[in-house]
Order: sequence, then C-alpha cells, then structure tokens
Amino acid sequence: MAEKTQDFVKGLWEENPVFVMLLGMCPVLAVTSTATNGLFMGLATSFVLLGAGIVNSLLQNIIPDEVRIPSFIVVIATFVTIVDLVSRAYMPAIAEQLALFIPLIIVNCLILNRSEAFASNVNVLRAIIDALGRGLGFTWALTFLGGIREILGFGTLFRGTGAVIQVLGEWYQPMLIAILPAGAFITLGLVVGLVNVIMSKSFSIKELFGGSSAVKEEQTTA
Amino acid sequence: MDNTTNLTVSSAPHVRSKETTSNIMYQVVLALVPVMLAAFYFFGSAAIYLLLTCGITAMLAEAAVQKLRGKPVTISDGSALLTGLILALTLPPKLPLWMAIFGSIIAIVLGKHIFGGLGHNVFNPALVGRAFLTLSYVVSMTEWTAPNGVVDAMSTATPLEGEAEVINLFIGRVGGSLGETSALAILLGGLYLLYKGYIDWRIPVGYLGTVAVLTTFVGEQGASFHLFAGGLMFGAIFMATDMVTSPVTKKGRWFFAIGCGLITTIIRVFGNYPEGVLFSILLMNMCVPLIDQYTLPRIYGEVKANG
Amino acid sequence: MANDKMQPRLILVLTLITIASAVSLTFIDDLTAPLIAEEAEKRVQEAVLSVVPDAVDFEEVEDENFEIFKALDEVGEVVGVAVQHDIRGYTGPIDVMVGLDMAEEKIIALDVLSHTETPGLGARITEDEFRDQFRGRDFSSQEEVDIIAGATISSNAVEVVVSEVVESAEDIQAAVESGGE
Repeated sequence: MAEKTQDFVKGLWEENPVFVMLLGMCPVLAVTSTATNGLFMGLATSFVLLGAGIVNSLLQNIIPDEVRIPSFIVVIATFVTIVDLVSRAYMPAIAEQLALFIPLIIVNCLILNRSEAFASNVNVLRAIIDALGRGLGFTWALTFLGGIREILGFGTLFRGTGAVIQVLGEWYQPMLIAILPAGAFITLGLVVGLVNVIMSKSFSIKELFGGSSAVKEEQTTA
Repeated sequence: MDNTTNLTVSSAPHVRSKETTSNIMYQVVLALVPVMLAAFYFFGSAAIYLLLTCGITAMLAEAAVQKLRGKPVTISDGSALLTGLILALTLPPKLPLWMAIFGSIIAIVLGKHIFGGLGHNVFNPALVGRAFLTLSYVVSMTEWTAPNGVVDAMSTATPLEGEAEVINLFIGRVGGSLGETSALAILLGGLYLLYKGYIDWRIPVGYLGTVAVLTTFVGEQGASFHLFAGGLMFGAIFMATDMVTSPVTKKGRWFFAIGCGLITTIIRVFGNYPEGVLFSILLMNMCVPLIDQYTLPRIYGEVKANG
Repeated sequence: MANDKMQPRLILVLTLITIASAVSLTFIDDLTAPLIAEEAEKRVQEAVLSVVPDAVDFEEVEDENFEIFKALDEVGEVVGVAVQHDIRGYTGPIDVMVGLDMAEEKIIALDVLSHTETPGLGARITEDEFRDQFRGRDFSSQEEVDIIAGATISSNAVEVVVSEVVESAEDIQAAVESGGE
C-alpha cells in the first residue's frame, strides 16, 4: 500500500513532471497563457498518459523489446488522436485555443518516459496509479503557471469558460509581458527556482535568492 | 585626450575594489547631470518625479535583496542609484509613477541580483527594466509629450515615427523619453566620461558610426536624423558602454559596437518597433561572453580566475 | 531468443498494434466527424450572418482568389456578399470576413474570424470600436482608419485586407453573378 501511495504522490510534488523533471516544456511554455488552457492541456495530457500507461502495461509481455518504441508511439498517437477528435467535436472553443498543441502531445517526452521507464515494467494497477499521479502533477503545474500568468496579464482566472473569476478589479492595468512568450520563460524560471528553494532541506528565507542563483549555475554547467 | 590611456588594455577596472567601483559610479552620475538638467528644462517637474522615484526605488530594492541574501548592503556604492537614474531617463515623461517603481524593482531584482549581483549580470539592468515595461505597458510607454517651449511638436509620436528638424533633435526640442531628446547634453556627459577614461571611445564611435554608415544607404530619413533621433545617442554613450555588460578587449568592443549598430538599424528601418536601441543592446549583451571568449588573450583567463 | 527467429514476431506485433489503432480511430472518427463538420458549418454561417445581418441563409460561390458567400434572405434574394480573406498580421495570419453591399457599393460590416495578435493590443482589432469604423464605408472611401494605440501593424493589416477585398469588388460581383444564376 505504501508503495502505491508513493507512486501516486511522487508525481504530484517530489518528481513533478514540470517543476522538477522539466519534461514536456513545449506545452508548458506555449499554452499556459491562461489557467483554462493550462487546465485543459493538463487534462488532455493526463488522459493520454493514462490510456498509454494502461495499454503499454498490458502489452508489456507481447511487445518485443526491439520494436517497443514504435509500438509505444503508435499507442500514444492513437490516444492523442482520440483527444484531438473528441475535443474538436465537443469542446470546439477550447480546442481552437490549443490548436496544434493537442496533436503535439504525441511528442511530449513525459508520456514516452512513463511508458518506457515505468508502465512497461509494472502491473496495470501501478501503471494507472503512476499515470494519475504524474497526470495530476502535470495538470496542477500547468494550471498554476497559467493562473499566475492570467492574473498578471488579464486580471482574471479561467477566462474563456462560463466561470470566469475577476480576480483583480478595474483598477488593474494588465501586465502584458506575462501572457507573451517572454512571460512564460520568466514565470517558469521563477517558479522552478522557488520550488527548488522549498525542496532544498535547509530552507530559509536567506536562500530565497542565494538558492535560486546556485540552481541556475548548476543548470548552465550541466 | 592625451596618450596616457595607451598603456591600459581597456578602461574597465581590472582589480575589483569597492573604492574604484563606487568612485566610477558617482562619476557617471555626475556625467548624467547635463542630461538630467536637460530633462528638467524640457519636461519640467515630471522629470524630477521620475528621476527621484526610480533612483530611490532602485536603492531600496537593492538594499532589500541584499538583506534577503544575507550579503552586505552596498547601496552606497552608487550602482543601484545609477541604474535607477538611467532607467528613469529612458522613460516617457508622463509615465505613471507606479510603473516607474515596478520597472526599477524589475531592473534590480531580475536584471541584476538573479544573476548574482553587481559584476555578474549579463544584461544592463536598466535596460531589463525598460524592456519589461515596454513589453508590459505598450500604450503608456509610447505616449510622448511635447517638451516645454514647443508648441507644434508632435504630441503623440516619438520623432522616429514622424519627421523632425535635425537642429531640434540635436538640442532636444522634440518629444521622446526624458533623457534621450537632447543629443547636446548627452554628448557633454559623454565627453566628460571619455576625458576621465571611464568609457571606451570604441563603443560609442563604433555604434554610432555603424548606424550612420548603414542609414546613409538604407531607409529614407538619412544618417543625421537617425543619429540624433530616439534613444541612440543615450544608449550608445551611457548604456552600451556599461563595464559589466560590454566586452573587455578592444577588438571585442568593436564587434559589440558594430553588432549594436547593425541590429538597431535593422529594427528601425525594417522592424515593427520604431526604436531598436533597447533590444539591440540587450541582444549584444547576450553575446558578450562569447565575444570575450574569442577575443581574450590567453593571459586574461588567468587574471579572471583570480578575480 | 535468436535474432532471426524474432523477425516475424516483430512485424506481426507492430502490424497488429497498428491495425488495432486504425480500427479504434475509425470508430471515434465516425462518431465525431459529423459533429466537427456541423461545427465548421455553424461557424461559417455565424460569420456570414454577422457581416450581413439581413441574411438568413447563405450559399458558397466558387472563386479562385477569395472565399465568397452569397447572403440570402427568406425568399432567396441576394442581400449581400460575404467575402473571407486573410493577411499576415503582426504575429500570424488575420482571417477576416467582410460583408459587402454591392448595390450601394458599401461595406456592411467586418468580422475578424481568427487571429493570433497580441492580447490587449493587436487583439483589439476584434473590438467593436475598431471594426465599426468599416461599417457603411464606401468602396471608394479614402478616409484613413483610426489606428489602435500600440498596434499599428495589426490595424494596418486589417485596413489592407479590407481594401484588397474592396478593390476586387467587381471581380467578386462577376463571380457571384456567374456562379449563382
């Protein structure tokens, strides 16, 4: 039981696909201009993750090692196409917003990573739990980034849906850079830095800045 | 200028010490005095408010970040003040003060301390602040007001979007950012810095020269217009020459300056933005480590390791 | 597990997976295709009706240069022509629908169907304040369109795309007449 809980929780925080593993950066940067886009992209990716996880786990003894990558990709592509068609049929407005980033889920390395490194080596139950954990981790990360950028750039949350929340009032002059591509990089960089500081054991306010610059050095030398 | 400078490889201080840094910073502030006076003369009290707001905010932000990082607070070295003043001089006169505060904080925190503080920053901090504001508040950042004593000046457009007499551009009787309108005042400050040896003539000369040569052949407005209009003069003399973010060697500085001139011309003549000085200097700032790597003599590597 | 013995199995498994994928996608496609087509149709209809408010129905006209729709009223009379055209904006293509009143030689209305302009700046080309400038504009009008502050490129792009349509008004009219009756 503890192992299964661990499988689930890891994806949420400790091995968060976005903030810690830095996987699938293309959708992270490209579609997080609003919380709505982030949430939907996260859910779409989670669905593919779950579907591919289940199928690839079930087929682990059937698929020969030599063709596992092409097999995984075909399975993943199938689920992505399903998401693409279904979203265009039932949620046309949001599908149009995300446009080609839905087909691009196929090349999201998070999904291939989970199929290759986890789902194809464990039983179906663990594959499902893992996919749910990672999917949820990916979803909250995208929604969180989208939320920050949307609040700064529009003053709202979940715009484009029926439940738009006006977070900041009329007085707020939107900070345009937040919803531009540059804002995606800056927001992601700051949040990843913050997550690193929080995760480092000796967390203190002093390291808020010292810590994040140390992380930066590591990344540039890597 | 006499030939005593022949002996030094470059004008940057090779041995880093508080005394020199601080001294240079205040000398540059002194060189900005003619520009600030011109800003006050043309734009009145708005200039004072912006200069004070940016200068004070930048120093407070620096102190706050240094406290948080547990480092000694060094706001008395004048570098934060200088960043704030330079930022203020690149802003339109009627900019809301809260935007100026925001820009100053971004300049210090994201432009400087994220990279490790003074001497480690890749980009000119004041320009980072301005880039942030330009991208965030496009409308406020492009509302130019006519300077005092000018009745028929364009009230909405920077001269780069229209036409202006070269003599007016030279003296500063045109709309524009606080410190960029008067080429005369900027040149006075620049000459002082050159005389003191705090900036290298290669950067302004290379930068302005490249723009002058290129705009003689491309674009419609001609070289003299492009030299004196917009932020080019101010950028070439006060921002491209920033010691931390410009190359160390003579050869590298030529590369840097010509690159700035090339990008500025491309953006001004062919690009969507009317002004290209901001982005050209930032882009070339990014190339400085590369330029340094290819132009540094071997012995410099050792010196740097000690620094 | 000798390599030569594996070969047939590799082909078999990969083929089976691909077939399974194709079958399931065919099934999903059958389910969603009508909905997607309906949605596309509805969008064109909305766009045509938004630029020719008097219309209740429309009919597509074959043309090489533009996508032209005849806007029809209840009795099938042509009440206007909607022309879809695109242009390169600041960050990507701007797709507009222009409603033309051929008899009066006036623009009825303008709608921006899709664009990727900067939110808050170029994206303001979709706002009524900007689009209404084109309402009732004569084909021959030389009047300058008021540009959105901070979005010169996007505003100009829309102005250019509209004038491209208007300048071809005669060709469009010819296409409507030959294609319709």
